[in-house]
Amino acid sequence: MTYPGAVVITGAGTGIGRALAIGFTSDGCRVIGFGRTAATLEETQRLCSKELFSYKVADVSDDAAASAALAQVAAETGPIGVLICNAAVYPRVYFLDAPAADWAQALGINVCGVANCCHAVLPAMLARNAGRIVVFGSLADYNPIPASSVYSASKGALHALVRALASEIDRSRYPNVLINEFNPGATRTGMSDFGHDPALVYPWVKRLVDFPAGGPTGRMFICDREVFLNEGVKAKIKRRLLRALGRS
Amino acid sequence: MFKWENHAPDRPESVLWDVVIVGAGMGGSVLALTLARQGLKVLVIERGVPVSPFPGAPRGSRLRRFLRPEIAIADLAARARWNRRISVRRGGRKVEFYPPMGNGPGGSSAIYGAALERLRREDFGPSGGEGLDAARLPNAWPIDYDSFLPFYARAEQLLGVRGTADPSDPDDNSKLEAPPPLSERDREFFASFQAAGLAPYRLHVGIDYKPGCMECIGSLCPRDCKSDGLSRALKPALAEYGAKLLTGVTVNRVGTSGYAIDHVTGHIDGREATFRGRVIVLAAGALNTPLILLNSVSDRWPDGVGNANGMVGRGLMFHVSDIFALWPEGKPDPVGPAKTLSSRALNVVDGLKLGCVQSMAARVSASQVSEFVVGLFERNLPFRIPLLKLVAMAAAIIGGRMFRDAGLFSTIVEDFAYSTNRLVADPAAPSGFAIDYANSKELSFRAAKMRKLLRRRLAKHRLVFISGGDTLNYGHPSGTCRFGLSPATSVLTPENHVRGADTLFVADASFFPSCGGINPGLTIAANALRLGEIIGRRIGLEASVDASARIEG
Repeated sequence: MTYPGAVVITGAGTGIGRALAIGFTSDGCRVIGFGRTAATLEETQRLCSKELFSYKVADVSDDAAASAALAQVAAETGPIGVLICNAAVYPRVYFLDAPAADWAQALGINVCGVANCCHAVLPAMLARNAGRIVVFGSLADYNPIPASSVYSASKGALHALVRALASEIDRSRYPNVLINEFNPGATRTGMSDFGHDPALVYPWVKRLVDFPAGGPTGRMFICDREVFLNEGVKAKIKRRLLRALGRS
Repeated sequence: MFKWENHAPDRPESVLWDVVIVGAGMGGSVLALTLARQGLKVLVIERGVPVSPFPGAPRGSRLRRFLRPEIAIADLAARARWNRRISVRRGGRKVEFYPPMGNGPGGSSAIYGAALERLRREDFGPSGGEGLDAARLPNAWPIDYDSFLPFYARAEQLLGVRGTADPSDPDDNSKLEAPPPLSERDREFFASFQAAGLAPYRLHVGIDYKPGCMECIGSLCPRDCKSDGLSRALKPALAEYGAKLLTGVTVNRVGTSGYAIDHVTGHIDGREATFRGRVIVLAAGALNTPLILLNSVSDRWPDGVGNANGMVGRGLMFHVSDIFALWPEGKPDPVGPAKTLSSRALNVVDGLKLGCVQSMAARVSASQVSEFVVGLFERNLPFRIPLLKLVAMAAAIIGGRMFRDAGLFSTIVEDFAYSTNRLVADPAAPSGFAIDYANSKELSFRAAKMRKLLRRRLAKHRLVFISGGDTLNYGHPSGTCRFGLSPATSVLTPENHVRGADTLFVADASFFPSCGGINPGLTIAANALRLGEIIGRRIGLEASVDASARIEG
């Protein structure tokens, strides 16, 4: 199915971003990929149906560049219906072994990049009451391993960012603007040697984008199911009870 | 960045202010702006304190908050609402409840729904039926409608009003910003109202519709998106034009140290404080302004300042607002802006003054219904029903499903001023005053006629009135210090100053001799702009008198 609006995927040059671009274009969607390297984006374009995929070279951590690029997309291709915030870096280095400025820069890509893109697309999505934002997260912040400090900190920030943005979007007034977090789990890409095939990720992301108006927002999904973290026993029982009674 | 403490006066009691304004509601705030812009030294004294407009994290569980009223009372103050009850005697019954009014910078306008509509030409004129009841007060406005229109236009500009012109009003020359597109359901309602001869138009609202706007009705706008006395008048008056604001101080009396009224008295930290001004303006609202006058007793004014003719507090008007749910045919998409439709085709029908109909809210939620039911009971029954809230909530959850697809509308029917509908000082009452208000037969007749007409015209739709008949709108008090030409039946002159006290003015809705069937906010703002010119000229006159006295002396 195609969506009433273009699909923007950040970090579309490699890994999961590329796999999603291939997936969406194979379903007939118009996709615009963002990335920092033209060469990899061109390769992605070669692998997709050429007319349906185009790209822009932009660094999402620069808010002026990000908003300019997204405004260009809206002008050239029409309103943006889906934003997939996938671009992220995972510098594998012990905290003290790299300059503090590098740490800040990585945070800028992983967290501010997401915020910059959301900031640029949300006003138009709200005005049309139509939009889906999927933010790629991770559970790395729950049990951070050595050499993952900025990555773990970023993903922790994104849990909160997604829920904070969802709290600001009135569900009765804008029921068709949904923002959710998606964790692909370990996936075999440049970021990780092990895990599942990136091609598996597309159907899971597509499910989130296909939520109808009034669907889940501000929630966390991992692969094909929803995750409830930090939920107390009472809340868990209440949720199970409501589900049994047939109300979501 | 705007910080309240930057605009508090340094030693307010030691300054002779040009103008002291009591109350920072719509009237007080717009007046403060227009006077400060003229370079005058303005002090605004507000009883409430600024509260954060950002919704905080809820305290305690939902059930706990629902059942414990103390939390609700503290909640009212945090939501910039009156947190004391008022006492109303409705023809033999007495009820006490929290009125739906604001408290704090911006007053009621800070939490209003931002409907900003004009009175019409016929609302300024005398309405028929005077003299039929001896208690009816004359209700013609003592100023010319054409001379007031420019102030409406300026107020609409100041408050960034959006909407479309009213096709049934030949005087509507407003130049308004375009409002956002209607929902599918509202388009259907508009078509129905049009077909029913109700001449609907886009409600005039002071809302910027920023991305994600939630049309904060009944609460503070946290995003500088709603235009009210606070955002468009008080803040610029303080931040750009040097006006000063003192908060948390209640003014009890006005007084004189010679002949003219030249100071107000209030309480700070338990001690009495005096604030002196060349001109004093009361803008504390149609309930508190007459109270201040009634409590300002002296040898010259044994019954209260301005009350020699016994008129202070009399002529209290509220509007009757009946609320109805309207179901569309089919299931059109209801998602879209809520404050959309207004119709004033029924302002005058067969020579009778009726009023307007306007969109109230787009969706009815169970908690809204239960709050409404609770409020309805509290305002109309003289006793408390235990566990009323639980019953109301249960009824609302059941009823909520019925009303889920309906749009909510409200009528605003004019009530007339009667000398027997009044506010009196009552130190024993929770807010220091008691209200006597009896619905007259003619009001009940007109409100019923409005309901009947709407049912008939909109017969194509399912329509259910969900308020009890003749529901008074306690958010719209007016008329308690009416202006007029006749000294016997008015407290204020047409220039809005108290008769016999030409340094004392009133800038809130107390001055209305009639209230029309429409929201009062824009008229209060427009009149404050008019008053700003009057007071500016007056102070200019005083200054030149002072100067010439100095030269001659």
